[in-house]
Amino acid sequence: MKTAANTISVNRRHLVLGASLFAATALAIASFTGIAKADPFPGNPAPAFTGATAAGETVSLSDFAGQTVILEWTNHDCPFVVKHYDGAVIPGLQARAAAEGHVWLQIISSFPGTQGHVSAERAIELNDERGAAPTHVILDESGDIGRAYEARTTPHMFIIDGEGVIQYAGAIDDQPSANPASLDGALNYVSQALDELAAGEPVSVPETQPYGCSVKYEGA
Amino acid sequence: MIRLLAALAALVISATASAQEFSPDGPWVHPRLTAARASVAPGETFYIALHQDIAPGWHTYWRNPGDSGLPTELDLTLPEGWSVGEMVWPAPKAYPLGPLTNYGYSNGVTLPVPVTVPADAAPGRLEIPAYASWLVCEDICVPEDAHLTLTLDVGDSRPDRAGAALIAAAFDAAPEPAGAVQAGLARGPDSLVLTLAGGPLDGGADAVSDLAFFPFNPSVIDHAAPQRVALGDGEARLDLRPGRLTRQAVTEAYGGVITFDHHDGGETRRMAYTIDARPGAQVSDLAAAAATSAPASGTPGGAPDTPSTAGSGGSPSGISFLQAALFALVGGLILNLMPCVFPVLSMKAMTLVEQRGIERAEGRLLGLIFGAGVILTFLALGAVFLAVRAAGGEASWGMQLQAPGVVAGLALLMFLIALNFLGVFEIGTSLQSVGSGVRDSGRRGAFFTGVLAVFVAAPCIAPFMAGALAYALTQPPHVALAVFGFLGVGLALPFVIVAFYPALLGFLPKPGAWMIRLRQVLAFPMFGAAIWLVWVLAAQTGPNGVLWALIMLLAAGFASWAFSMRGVTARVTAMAAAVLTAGLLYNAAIQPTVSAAPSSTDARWADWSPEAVQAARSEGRAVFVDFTAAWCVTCQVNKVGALSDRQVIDAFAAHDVALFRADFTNRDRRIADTLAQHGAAGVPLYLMYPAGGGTPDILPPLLTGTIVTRAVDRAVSP
Repeated sequence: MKTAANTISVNRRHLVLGASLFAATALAIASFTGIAKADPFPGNPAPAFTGATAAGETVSLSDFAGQTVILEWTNHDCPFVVKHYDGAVIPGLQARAAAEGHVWLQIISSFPGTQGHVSAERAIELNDERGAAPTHVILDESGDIGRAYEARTTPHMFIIDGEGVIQYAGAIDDQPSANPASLDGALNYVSQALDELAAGEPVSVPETQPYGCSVKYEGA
Repeated sequence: MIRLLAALAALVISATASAQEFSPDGPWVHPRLTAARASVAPGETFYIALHQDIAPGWHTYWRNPGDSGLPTELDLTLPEGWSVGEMVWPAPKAYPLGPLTNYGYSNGVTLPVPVTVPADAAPGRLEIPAYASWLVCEDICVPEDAHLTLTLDVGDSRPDRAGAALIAAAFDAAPEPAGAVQAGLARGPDSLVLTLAGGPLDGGADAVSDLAFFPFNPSVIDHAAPQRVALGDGEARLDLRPGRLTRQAVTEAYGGVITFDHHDGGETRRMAYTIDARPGAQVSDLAAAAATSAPASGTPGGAPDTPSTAGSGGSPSGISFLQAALFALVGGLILNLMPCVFPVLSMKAMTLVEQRGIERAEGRLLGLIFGAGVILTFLALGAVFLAVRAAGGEASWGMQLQAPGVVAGLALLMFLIALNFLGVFEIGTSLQSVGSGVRDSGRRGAFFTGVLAVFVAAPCIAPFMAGALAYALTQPPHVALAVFGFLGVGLALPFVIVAFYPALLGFLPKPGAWMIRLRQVLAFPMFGAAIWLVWVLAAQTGPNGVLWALIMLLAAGFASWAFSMRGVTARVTAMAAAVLTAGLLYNAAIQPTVSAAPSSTDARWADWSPEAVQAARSEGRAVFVDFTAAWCVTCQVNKVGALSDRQVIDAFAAHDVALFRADFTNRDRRIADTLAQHGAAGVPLYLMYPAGGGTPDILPPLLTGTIVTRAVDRAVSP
């Protein structure tokens, strides 16, 4: 019986060793587990953000919970943006969004000294000149909001539903061109997605390749 | 009109006039239209090209412009009957713009298009009008365009030397046609894997540097993410961040261009090849380059944050071959301690005690034969897994336990081993007895003990093995088999060491009655293992399966008892009972599987489905998913351990975490897909989705209360 006890004590030693190895691995794996990053893709929750507006307010995405939010990356000197403002496409969509109770956030992520970077006063003035009426203009000089959404071009559009889920991300329409003539017969993806969401239908084209000028981040 | 005159003027200027002055107000591109022929013959195909002189610091775009920009376009207005083919694009360069990347050309580029003259073309002078448009960018972007005209004679075929030189240079800079380099594009657990094989890559890292991939379609990869490059002789592997079209899976072939510097002696040449990547294929066995290696200079952009590695470091498949081999080795070692394996190996070790002092060489040989049995069985199992995977099936570890027949068979095996330990029956030259003096049967016994050890170990997946197996299942066959081999080495190692150094067992007393008693005691863990397997069967087939399995064990017990009797009647009875056992095993195996899973009885846990998870997430709740199975020991340990911990339950409740349990006891395609997506070879898998959205945290396979509560904290912190 003494020998059996011996055997068992050896086993116990093995077990303790095994258990410590388990624990060590578990710790190693746990320490490698990084903080998850929210990918700004349709179907995923929209990354939260807070920004300063041209009117001097501070707004957060969470302020608009329950409302449809449209994000528009812009740079007033970019020829692709000019096409959509001169052709009254974006001002028209902004008016429609306001009429339907949606929130339109125009976001300027140009780094100071780069194209499209403007003062708060100038941003408001520009919208007045262009007949544009977004709910807010967000000045994102640091580019933090732009990076969170992986905004690549001006324009680059996002639609976020009342539950905070991204429903559309991508180009404003299917005509990747700066030529004003390309607006004729263009399929406007944002307009289509808003129609479908209003009808309670899933968005048929939830993601497209954005086109336009690059967003002028720091170092760009 | 001015543009037209400028274009005509440009035509007059020779091809060497690239250092022209650019006005500070633009235009930023000086275009001209040129051709390889001054005069063409009817029926001939020749090239017309748009040449752009680009202002310093500015660039125009490739056919895939990258994250922004537009490809240059050229429309020729050709006479009736003439036809134009596709533009030839010289290999592009990557232009990083902060976190974005563009593909294009600087200084100058020539873009040829093939034009075919009809056989009945009338001789004489001809003007071909063209409209070219492009976007040219520096810090800012300017769309430019030009109406250009080319004057051409139809008659004899005569070259235009300046135009031909430009067009020849464009062809030199254009990629070689597809075929020289084979390519496959497949979704890895946390990257998009482009593998390349072919003669142009001969010499590996000694001959090739700055390898980069430029897809034709702008939605295949994240252009700005670093491209991690691993080079081998005649092969390469690039780990990329997937784009919109490849985020879930690679379902169609995508073309593109690879460029690299080729070093031969002191000479370096820029090379470019067209590739046509086969979907889901892997044409090279290279492992991924280390994530920590500096991005190759060919990696476009080199964005400061590298999203391709963010948030996925915890994935068990994000490990290297060496780590996988080490985990497999340790996992195999730990298998020795599993309740179903330990008794078998202990009894095997006892035979060495009996042999002490006699025939050391034979003992060592037996140890090696045992080791060979273990390793070969693991390799065979590995081969079966790979075959299932190659056949397009869902290969995950533990899947063998999804077949009720296998579970019932293992229960029978455990039960018979236990009866044998208790001495109910002896096998002529028992697996455990080598003292019979018959060397061959002793050797055979040692081999089959090795085989047996693997089979009884199969249900006991050790947490270490999860990572190693997940890695193995995503690797090319020889790497995968090597990992399985290391599992075998780990399982066999302790016994082989003891066989070589029997002195290690020196603390044990001389052989005697204690050995018989130990053997009898060790029967009970085997009964325990059999009970557990019957419980698994209950989850799979319900009461009917359990009934048939228990009757099978009854028949097996009866057969064992009859087998130990002497005489013909006893033998016949034993045979009949054995046949009955086999029949009952078959009966248990064919029981239809039931969906009612025992794990879904806890009210706090909802049944898992991707839709349910999505719904909970869209409410802004954090979500915890437990991928489990009745046959998974680790899962059960976690379920009654960490997941039943008071603090964990409180943390879940306090933060309104949605709890889902996915039961993999029976086969389930959707669960298998989800496991594969997160790089898991099997269950357990624990996912903690953060409340703010984004990719889930993968928790380690062996949980503690702290690991879970920390994960909850992370998931709900903004």
